[in-house]
Amino acid sequence: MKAFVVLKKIWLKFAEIVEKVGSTIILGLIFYTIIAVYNIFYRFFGLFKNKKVSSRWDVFEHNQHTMDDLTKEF
Amino acid sequence: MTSNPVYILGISAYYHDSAACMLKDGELLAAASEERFTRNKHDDNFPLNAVKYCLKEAGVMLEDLDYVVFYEKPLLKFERLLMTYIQNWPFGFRSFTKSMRTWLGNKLWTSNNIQKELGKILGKKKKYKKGILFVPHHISHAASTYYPSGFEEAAVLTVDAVGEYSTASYGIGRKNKLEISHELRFPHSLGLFYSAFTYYLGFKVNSAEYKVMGLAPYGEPKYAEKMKELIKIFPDGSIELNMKYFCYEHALTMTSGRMERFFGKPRRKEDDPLEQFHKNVAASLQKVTEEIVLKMADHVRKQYDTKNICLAGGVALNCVANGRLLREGKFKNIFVFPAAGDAGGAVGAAYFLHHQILGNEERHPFKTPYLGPGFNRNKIESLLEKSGIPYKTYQDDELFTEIANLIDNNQIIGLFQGRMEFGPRALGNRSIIADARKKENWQRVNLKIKFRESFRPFAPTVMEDKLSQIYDIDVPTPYMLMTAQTKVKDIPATTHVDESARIQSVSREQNPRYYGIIEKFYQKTGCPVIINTSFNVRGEPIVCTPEDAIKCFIRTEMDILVLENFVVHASEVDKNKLKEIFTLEVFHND
Repeated sequence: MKAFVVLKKIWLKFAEIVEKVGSTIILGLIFYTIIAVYNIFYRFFGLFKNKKVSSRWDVFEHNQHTMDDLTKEF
Repeated sequence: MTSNPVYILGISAYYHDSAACMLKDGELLAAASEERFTRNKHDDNFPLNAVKYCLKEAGVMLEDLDYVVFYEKPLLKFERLLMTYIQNWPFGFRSFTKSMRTWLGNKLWTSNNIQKELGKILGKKKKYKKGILFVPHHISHAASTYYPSGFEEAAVLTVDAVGEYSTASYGIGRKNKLEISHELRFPHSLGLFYSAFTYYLGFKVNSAEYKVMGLAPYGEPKYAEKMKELIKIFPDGSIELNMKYFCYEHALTMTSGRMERFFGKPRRKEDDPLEQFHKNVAASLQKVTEEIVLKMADHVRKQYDTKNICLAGGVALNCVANGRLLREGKFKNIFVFPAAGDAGGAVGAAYFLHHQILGNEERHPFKTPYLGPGFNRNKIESLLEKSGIPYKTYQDDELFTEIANLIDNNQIIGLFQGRMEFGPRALGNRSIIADARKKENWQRVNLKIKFRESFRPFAPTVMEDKLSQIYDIDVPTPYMLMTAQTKVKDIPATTHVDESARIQSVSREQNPRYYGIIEKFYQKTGCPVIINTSFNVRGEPIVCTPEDAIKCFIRTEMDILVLENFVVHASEVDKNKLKEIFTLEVFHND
C-alpha cells in the first residue's frame, strides 16, 4: 500500500512536470535517452553499426519485384 | 470484348514539392504540384487539390482508381533517421525532437494518412479503403525519367539530396524493365553538398539552389581545389564528404562553424550584399558539381554499353551540368524528365507500378509537359466582364501577330494559355515574355516585374528550327534543362555574362500557339528568340488559374496580360480598383 502511494506520488510529480515542460519535450528526452544507450553499444561494442553508410557505389538493396514488395512501407 | 482501363494515382508528399499524377493504361493524363493550387511555394502537405484535379481531368471518381502509389518507403526513411541520431549522439537533440514531432505525429502513419486524406474526397469522416503501395524514392526518380524517355534501352542515373538511404543511384532500363544496380548512401550526397553551399551563401535550401547556379558565371572557380578538402571525389564519381564541415545529419543547419573558419568568411545572411567571394564560391561549387556528375556518368557508361542516358533527381535540374554532359559527347542522347525533383517522383512511382510490377510492355513516350489544368475561354471572359477589366478579343492568327507587335514595342507580357506545365519551368503557357534584344529588359523584368535579385539571368525560348543558328547545340531542348553558348550578339537580355543561356526550344508540334507567337515575331524582326520567365513574382508559385494571373498582373508593372485570346492593357486598367476585388496574398521571399 505504501509502495502504491509512493508510486502514485511519483506519477503525479511526473504528470506535473509533463504539464509544465510539455509532453513532446518529455517524450523527446525519453527517446533521446534510449538513443544514448544505443549509442554506447554502438560506440563501444560495435553493435547496431550502420552498415548502410557508404561513400562508394554499393549494391542497391531495394529493387522491387512483386506487388507484395510494394505493399511494404520498408 | 474490351477490358476496363487501369487507373493509377501517383503521389509524392510530406517532404517538399508535393504532387499527384494520373496514369490511364500507362498514359500520363495529368500531373500537377500542390503548390500551384494552395499558392504556398514548395508545399509539402498532402496534395489533395492536385489529386482532385487529376481525378477531374481523367473523368473518374476515387472509387474507380485501381491503385494508389506513393513515391518512397516511409519506414525505411525513419530507420535511416534513427540510425543517424544514434551515431551522432549526443549531438542533435533539437533536430531530433523536431523531427520526432513530425514523424510520430504524422509521417510514421503515411499509409493511414493517405487513406484519410483521400477519404476527404469521399465525404465527411470517410476513409479510402484500398491499400497504398510504396516505391523506393530513387526507383521513383529513375522510373520517372526512363519510362517516358522512349528509349528501348538506356542507362539511368539519379542524383538528389537523399531518399531513404540513397543519395544517388544508377542502373539500366531495357524495354519495360528497370533495374537499379548501385547506390551511394547518406550522408555522402552531392545534392546535400550543393544545398549546404546554398545555405552558406545565404539562400534557402531546397528552394534556391538554382540561384546559386545562376550566380556561378559571375565568379571565378578559385576555390574548386580547396573544396576538395571538403569532398573526396573518386574516379568512379562516388564521393565522400568530410562531415566535420557539414552538420545536416544532426542539426537544423547545413554547415558548421568549421566551414566559416575554412573559408575565413561567415555565412552570408539573406539580406547581406553579394560579394565577389560569394560569386567565386558559387563558381567553384558549380565546377566541382560538374566534375562529379561527369565522372558519375562516365562510370555508368562503362557499366552499360548504351548510347542513351536518362537523368532524374534534384541535381538533374542543374542544366549547366546537363549541358556539359551533352557537349562531352559520352552519351548520344540524354533525356531529363522536366519535373526531375521530388514532384516527378509521383509520376515515376506510377510508371514503375504499371510497367515493372504489372508487366505492361507498351510504353508511351513523353509527349507534353502541359499536364496541369486548363481553363475554358467562356469562363475567362466572364471573369473579365465581372471584374470590369477592359479587354480585346482576337482570333488565333491575329493574336499571335498582335503579341509579336507588342513584344517588338518593348511591352512586357504575361502569357496565360492552355494547360499548365508540370515541373519547375514555365514553358510558354504560364510565362512572362519580352524582347530579348533589349538589354535593359534583364533589369526591368527582374526589378519591376519579378521583384527578384538583379543578378538572375533570363532564359530564352527559341524556334526549334533556328536553334543551332543561335546556340551552340544541335539537339532540341524543349524543357529548359540544358545550357549552351550563344553564337549571336543581338539577344543580350537572355545571354548570361559567360555567353551561356538556359534554352527552351519550341516546335510547332510541341506548342503551336507559343511557336506561332515567336514565329510572327521572327517574321517581323528577324529574331527567333524571346525572353521566357515564369509567370509569378518572387516567392510565389507559378500562376495556375486566370485569377492568379490577374492578381500577378495587378501587383507588378507588367504592360500586357494575355488570357487565352483576350488581351488586357495595363494602361486601360485601374489596378487600385482591381485590388479591391482581388485579395492579394503575401508571398515570402524564397
